[in-house]
Amino acid sequence: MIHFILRRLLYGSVVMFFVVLIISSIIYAAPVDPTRMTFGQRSDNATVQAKRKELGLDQPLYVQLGMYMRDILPLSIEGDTPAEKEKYQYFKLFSVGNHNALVFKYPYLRESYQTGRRVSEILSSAIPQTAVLALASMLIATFLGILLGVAAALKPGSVFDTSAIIASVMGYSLPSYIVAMMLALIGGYWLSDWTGLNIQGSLFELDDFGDNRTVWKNLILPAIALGIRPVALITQLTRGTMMDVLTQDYVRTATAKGLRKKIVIFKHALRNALNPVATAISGWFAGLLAGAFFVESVFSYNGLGQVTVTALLNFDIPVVLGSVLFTALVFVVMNVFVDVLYALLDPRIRLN
Amino acid sequence: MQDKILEVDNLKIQFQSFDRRTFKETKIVAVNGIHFTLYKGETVGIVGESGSGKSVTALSLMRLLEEPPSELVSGSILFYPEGGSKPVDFAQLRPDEDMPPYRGKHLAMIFQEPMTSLNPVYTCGAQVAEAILIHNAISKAAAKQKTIELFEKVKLPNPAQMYDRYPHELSGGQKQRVMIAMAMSCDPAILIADEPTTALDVTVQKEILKLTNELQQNFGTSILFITHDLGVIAEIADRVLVMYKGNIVESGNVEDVFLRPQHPYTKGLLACRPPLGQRLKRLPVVSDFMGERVNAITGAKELYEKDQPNIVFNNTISDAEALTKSSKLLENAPMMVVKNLNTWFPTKKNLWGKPIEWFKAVNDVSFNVYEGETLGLVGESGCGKTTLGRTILRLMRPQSGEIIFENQHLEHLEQDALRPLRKKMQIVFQDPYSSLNPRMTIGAAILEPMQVHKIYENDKIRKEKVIELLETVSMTAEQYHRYPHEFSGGQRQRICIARALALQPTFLVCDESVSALDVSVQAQVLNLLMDLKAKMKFTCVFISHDLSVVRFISDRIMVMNKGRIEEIGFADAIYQNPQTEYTQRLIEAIPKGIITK
Amino acid sequence: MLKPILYYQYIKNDLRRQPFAKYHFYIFCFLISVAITAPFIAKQPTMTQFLPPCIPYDAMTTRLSDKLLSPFDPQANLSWYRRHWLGTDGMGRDIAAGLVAGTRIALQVGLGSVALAAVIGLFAGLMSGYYGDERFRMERRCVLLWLLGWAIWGFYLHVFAQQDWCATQFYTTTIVFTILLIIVLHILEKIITSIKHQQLVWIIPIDYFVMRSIDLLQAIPFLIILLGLMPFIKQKSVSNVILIIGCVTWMPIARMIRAQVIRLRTRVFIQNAEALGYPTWRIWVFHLIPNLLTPLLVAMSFGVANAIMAEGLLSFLGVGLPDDLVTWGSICQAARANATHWWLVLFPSGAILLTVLIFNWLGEHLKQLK
Repeated sequence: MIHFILRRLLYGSVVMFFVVLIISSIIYAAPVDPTRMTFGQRSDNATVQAKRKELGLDQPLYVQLGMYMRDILPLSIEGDTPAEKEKYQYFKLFSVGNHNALVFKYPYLRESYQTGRRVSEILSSAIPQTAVLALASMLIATFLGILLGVAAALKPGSVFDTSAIIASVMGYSLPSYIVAMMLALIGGYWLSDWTGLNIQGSLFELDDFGDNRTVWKNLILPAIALGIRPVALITQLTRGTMMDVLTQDYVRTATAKGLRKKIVIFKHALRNALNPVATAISGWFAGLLAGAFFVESVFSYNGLGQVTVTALLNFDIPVVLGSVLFTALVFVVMNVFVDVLYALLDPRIRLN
Repeated sequence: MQDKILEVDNLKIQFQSFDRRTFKETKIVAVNGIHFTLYKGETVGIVGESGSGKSVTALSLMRLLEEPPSELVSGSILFYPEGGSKPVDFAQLRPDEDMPPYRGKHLAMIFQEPMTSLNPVYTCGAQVAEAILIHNAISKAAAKQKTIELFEKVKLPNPAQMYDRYPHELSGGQKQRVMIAMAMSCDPAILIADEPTTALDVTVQKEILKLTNELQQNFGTSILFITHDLGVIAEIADRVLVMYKGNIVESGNVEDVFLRPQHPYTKGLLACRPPLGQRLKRLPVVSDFMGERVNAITGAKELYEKDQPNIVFNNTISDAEALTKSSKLLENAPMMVVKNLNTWFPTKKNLWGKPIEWFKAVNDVSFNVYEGETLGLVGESGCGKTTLGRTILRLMRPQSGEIIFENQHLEHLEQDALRPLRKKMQIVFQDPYSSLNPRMTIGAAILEPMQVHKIYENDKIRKEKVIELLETVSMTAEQYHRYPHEFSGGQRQRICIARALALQPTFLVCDESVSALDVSVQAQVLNLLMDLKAKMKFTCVFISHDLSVVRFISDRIMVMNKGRIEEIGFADAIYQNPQTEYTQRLIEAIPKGIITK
Repeated sequence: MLKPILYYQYIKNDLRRQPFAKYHFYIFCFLISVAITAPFIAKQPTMTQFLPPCIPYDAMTTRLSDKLLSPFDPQANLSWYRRHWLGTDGMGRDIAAGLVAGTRIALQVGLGSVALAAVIGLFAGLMSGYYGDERFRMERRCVLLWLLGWAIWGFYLHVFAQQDWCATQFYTTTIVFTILLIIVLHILEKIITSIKHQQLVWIIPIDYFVMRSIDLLQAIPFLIILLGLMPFIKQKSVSNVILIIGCVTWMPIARMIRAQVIRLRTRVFIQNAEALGYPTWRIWVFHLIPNLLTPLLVAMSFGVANAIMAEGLLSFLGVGLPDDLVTWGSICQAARANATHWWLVLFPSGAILLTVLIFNWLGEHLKQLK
């Protein structure tokens, strides 16, 4: 089993490496000048050129790529000076040559072009919000989806089944911003006195005294809005796999043993039907993180999606690349997790 | 007088179905008002072909059929519980609410496909223990103990270890033993066995039948055994019921039915199995004994008996005759020479993907196939006969060895070079249901090989040839434009044979071509193959696991076991005088029972 | 002899049984006809024409005097015919006309990009599923020849993509060049292989390569690729958007086709076709693809829905499509500034929702076929 996980992790790291390489090539090679975006049209040439030199944007493509790669790798060769140590906060392993050392450090994601803050700071404040949001909406979606899917599969062709299908098609057809806007309007505006929810707000907010506080209320509406699509997909998938499993021979064997129908369904059928659903859900989770932009935008929820797309439109390269890196990391980890989960759930895969 | 356990009276079950072509819902009657009785301690066999309603009957006894498509229209299923209390009519009970207390405890069932009958995510032991715990209020540990005892009784190796094994780790025979253990766990009065040995090898089947016999004697269970194999019935049953299209056409003691059959269908069914004791020119088919016609008065379909043609006389070929015929074939030049053929599949690969361990499906095999003969290839599942058949046609790459066909070495050729040779070598596969492209009409399917290999001048002539071929395999010209799903299994197999013969090959491999067919349909297709062989004069390699079929059609037989050839010889010699121990075991395992023919 | 029945008759019968399938199909036809007749339905009426258009406004004409009219505003100075039933936007353009024009663009982008994705995905899935890891055998010299051909094609793209050509000219030249290159390579291959010389045969694990690239491309979030590739496109045009979306969404189709091909390969009629000596292209075209059509159409329907949503997003963000083109998303964009202009959001969003819903429904109905 360990062998299996290690091989998957290795493969995942290779994928990540290539992903980052591709994306950074695309972004760095783009014929758009970020410094113009930062300074606007009004600055003069000299300032812009100076800024470009400082950011290293005047170097050829492969040099820029090389420098970026060096910055983000945890194990790299950096200059052995106090200024560098301050910048990177590394842990020195041993010296290489006169002025350099092989060091072990956190990936250095540089600073934002727009605000100058360290990208890792920006991300670390945005990621937890999005993570909690994604987790919450996934939990709601899974619970509801499996319930509805199983109920629909037990009575195929009935009114309940047909309406479940209709509802799920509506669910995954609705663009997320429409759902978000409708929920914001209805729940946060028109009915706000009744529900006590806000139309806008993030999870972690600064209250009047400048301290951080966690406002759980603000999670409800965005989580529901984000969860509508997964609910629809999970319902469909569960219904499909459940209907498939109910025709299998071992369900007939279980019934022939004298088990009551409920036990047959929940103990024998569901256990098999949920295998593909569990792996699919884990796979979608990574996508949920990346695609929460609209919902966050409508609710002014300061999460990763909003940060990323704003940066993309302003060509704030370090932020974009940092976000992509994180997303790719989540994707890779999720893939490994899905493979392991599949092996755990299905004994037939385990002994491979 | 024996005690009655089960009495079925006037049972009628029908199914709703939908006809894709006419776009209408129809009702099909699966079981048409049958009566039978089951007594304590006896084994009753229900025999019939597909569509006879035997499986539907079995499932309906425990009300396991899904009610919406199926419907129990009328009839009663009276169960007489132990202790002489009032009989219970299962037909009146509700399947989901009232039947569970009876299932498993008073009636138990084992099914046909052991591969899929056990839940893959739970261990075997857990599933059997569950069966015990449903009906007995004992502790989990006690149930585990009882399960291990049961595993010992069904002769599973390492019972204690087997408890924690998952179903996919067991072989088919072992899984069926687990199913038997599960069924017998609560000491039921009736055990219903729905074709439990059909999917197993003949040697494994023998063991399982022996086991069921022993268990019956130890526990005193009545067994209702459903199968299409008359030999099995002859081995184990006391009484037999013959079903045809939803009706029981004959019932009685095994001796009476087998030695003195009354109904024409029974006579036909008994006659159309290839016999082991003698060689026939042509297999009798059911339609030789029985026909269908519309009653002029009532307008309903009915069966009538035909006068039997003289199929018993002039039909047998004496041993001497067969031997001379077969020996003469050996005088011809060998059409195909196989030397030291190896086909291996990699099982383990090292880091770089280079294989380090192999599974030797075909292991150093050498033989000749002479022009005009039929070489039979027999073996159990997994012995490599299918792989061998595919390899000699170069549908698979051999690891090493030589295949010389008409003085041409085949083993090194690439697919492009092999294409022109395909005109001469052809294959008919096992599964009739997926051998034809569902989106192509059968006429187009038979026309296509002619178009690809550009034989005959134009499409008009080719189309005529297709119709000729269809008529040769007893189908009509007007079926040219029909799609495969409109045909039965036997008809589809005949279409496949027609397609294989479209290119007029000289070498034909039949890879278990009749194994998926009913016995009567099998007889028809075998007769067809014999006729075609006489007419078109091709050389045939016939692969099968069924010894009697192979014996009927082959001149020489090759027995394979685990990738190696055990024995080669003339067909009669192999049966009457098997040399190797494996062949002896194989022949002995064929169920015969009371049939001594 | 019986009259031949085409297989699609069975499919039509099966579809008719499903509830609401007929209505969904009618709405689909309605959308297609609106898209096709768009310039005729909504244009400025001229003196010399037989049929007055349904909507007497062009999507692009601006009338600054009538800007930002809500549907419920009085609009007293306009007749019933000329009334802005759905309101106007910030430049006085009629919303109804905008919806009609947007239909055309949405369907162009949706159907076009899915067609492209389907072609790429079908080919990749067929290669990957049919040949697997061990069945693709090619002589070493042929492999090298094809690699050379790929290099030439890449070089061509690199050199000619820098030019500032008009989009259509670039596309046609590229397609012609690709076809010529493939033909030349085939001829060269035939010439080379006819030289009888015992050659080393390589086994190329096509499945491995295709699946890895699919994994890689799917790891990159869709949005990021789209927005990241936008600045590369010199010219904003509909064809460029179709190209980008098509090149980025072929992966699910390829995966699905591959799974189906692997399933079909276990079915005996494909093995039979190989045994009968059919050339590979024939097996693909006459045996595999007809059996793959239904799953392919399902994936394509869902793909169109996704593509239309992506197009809406792109024009909402103002990226990719030309600025003067009126599409559903661009009408929404005007509402970003001021949320009280509800009609700028409701109607285009409703149009997107309807179209996406219909395509998803078509996909669902096709999915329920055998």
